[in-house]
Amino acid sequence: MSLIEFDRVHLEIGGRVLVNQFDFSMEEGEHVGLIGPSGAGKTTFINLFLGLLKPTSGTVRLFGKDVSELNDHTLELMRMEMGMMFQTNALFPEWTVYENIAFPVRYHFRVPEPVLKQLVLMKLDAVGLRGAQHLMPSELSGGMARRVALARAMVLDPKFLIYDEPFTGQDPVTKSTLKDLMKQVHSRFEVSSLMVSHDIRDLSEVVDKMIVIRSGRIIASGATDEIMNSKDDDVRNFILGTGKTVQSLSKRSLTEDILESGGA
Amino acid sequence: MHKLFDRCVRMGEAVAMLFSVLYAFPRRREHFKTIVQHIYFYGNKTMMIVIVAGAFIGMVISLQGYTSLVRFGAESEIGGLTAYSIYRELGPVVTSLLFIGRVGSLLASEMSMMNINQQFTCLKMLAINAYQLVLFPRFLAIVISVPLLTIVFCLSAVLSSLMVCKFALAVSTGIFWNSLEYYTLFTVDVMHGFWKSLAFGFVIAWVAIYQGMSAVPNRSGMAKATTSTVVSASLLILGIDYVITALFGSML
Repeated sequence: MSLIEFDRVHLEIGGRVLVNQFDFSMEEGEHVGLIGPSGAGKTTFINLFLGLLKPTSGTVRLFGKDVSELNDHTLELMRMEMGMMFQTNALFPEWTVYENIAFPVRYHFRVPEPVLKQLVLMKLDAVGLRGAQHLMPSELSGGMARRVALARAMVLDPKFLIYDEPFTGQDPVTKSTLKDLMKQVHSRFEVSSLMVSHDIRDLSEVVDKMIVIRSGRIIASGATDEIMNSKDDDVRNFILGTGKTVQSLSKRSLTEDILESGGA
Repeated sequence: MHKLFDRCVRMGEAVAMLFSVLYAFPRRREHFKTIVQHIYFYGNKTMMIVIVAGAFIGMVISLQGYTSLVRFGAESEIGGLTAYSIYRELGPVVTSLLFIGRVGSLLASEMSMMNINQQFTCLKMLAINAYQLVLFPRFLAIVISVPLLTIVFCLSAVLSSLMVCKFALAVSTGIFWNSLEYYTLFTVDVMHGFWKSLAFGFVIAWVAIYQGMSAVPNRSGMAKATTSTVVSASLLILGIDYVITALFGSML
């Protein structure tokens, strides 16, 4: 069954096209990376399948159901099947690590405290933070806070994890730890994942399929190796992290570039 | 015209948000625990300022009032004058203004910060009603805290006034209490102040939550929300104070 399916989805707000004829599908068990520069429409894409935005035309399906036809309650139940790790971690600063992970369970289910404690400790153990339950979010390092956010994303045992810019602002060692952890979590808990980022190199180490978007349009999609070895100008641009495309740089002279930019 | 339309839209949003908050009445015991925690948190934060402000205001009213009353040979009425103005006007208004500065601005910036940190989106993702978990406890805690703090303010003001009368103005305690009891009634004057403070608490909570929630999710948005909360809530309270006094002044 497709987890997410976009069928010719188009979104226009105030005359501005945010998503342009988007076709995409993600199957169960897949780990997909969504990549694009800032303002490319990555967050809009997430908001569309979470039902926070409605497309102007086309259909968005989540777990096989048309999102625009679902009522708020059904959407809420569906969101419980997904876990999300936010770029800001979205931890509650006044609560301990334990409370930050336990509160979704406490809100939805009547679980005896000893059982809840076991569950939280198990999730903390899974992200390598055994013994950190009494710490406050302000006492955590950036990498630890990410791991707590991941533990919370997994606490309701979701089928599907969404990562929003998981590596932003992390040092290389922490990035590497996070990548290993994510791979472990994916295989151990058998969850699918969608990772949104603007760094193709980090993403390529964790996902097995990639979609490159620009200005609300898909410019490339396929297996990670395919994308990484792509000859497409725009895709190469992401990989090299340059402002100009490889082709244009090779074809143009330095003088032409300077004249065009109005310099000298 | 465009601005007027914009204001109407914002008013509509604020009313809709208020109904959403009130509709999110907690159904679980744990949520009530959060309300108590917030009452303690807000009350504790403002208690000292309220006591100190109440004491000084009570003392100043006694000194000023005594000077005026002496001219008419009515200095024995000082207790009634002080208590009447404190119970009915100064108590609820000054407490609310202090509360806005201390807690209203804090709440607006907290809501705004939660927006910036994507905490509300996170709650939505976890299928948790943010109104129930975050907003309603804070809203109710403020509505309860303001009248409680008003009582503290009144007590502090009346007692400090009594001290000034006794030690600086040579008015005996018996005369002070006698005048206070003669001119003020619990069911009329104290309750007048109580209803006012309840209304003010409602307005403070509403304005602070709305300004915080509707702020642009960045730092300047947060600063703007905090300032707007203090300005709008203070002016609204002064306006509502006049309306309540004009409409119910003689009844309550």
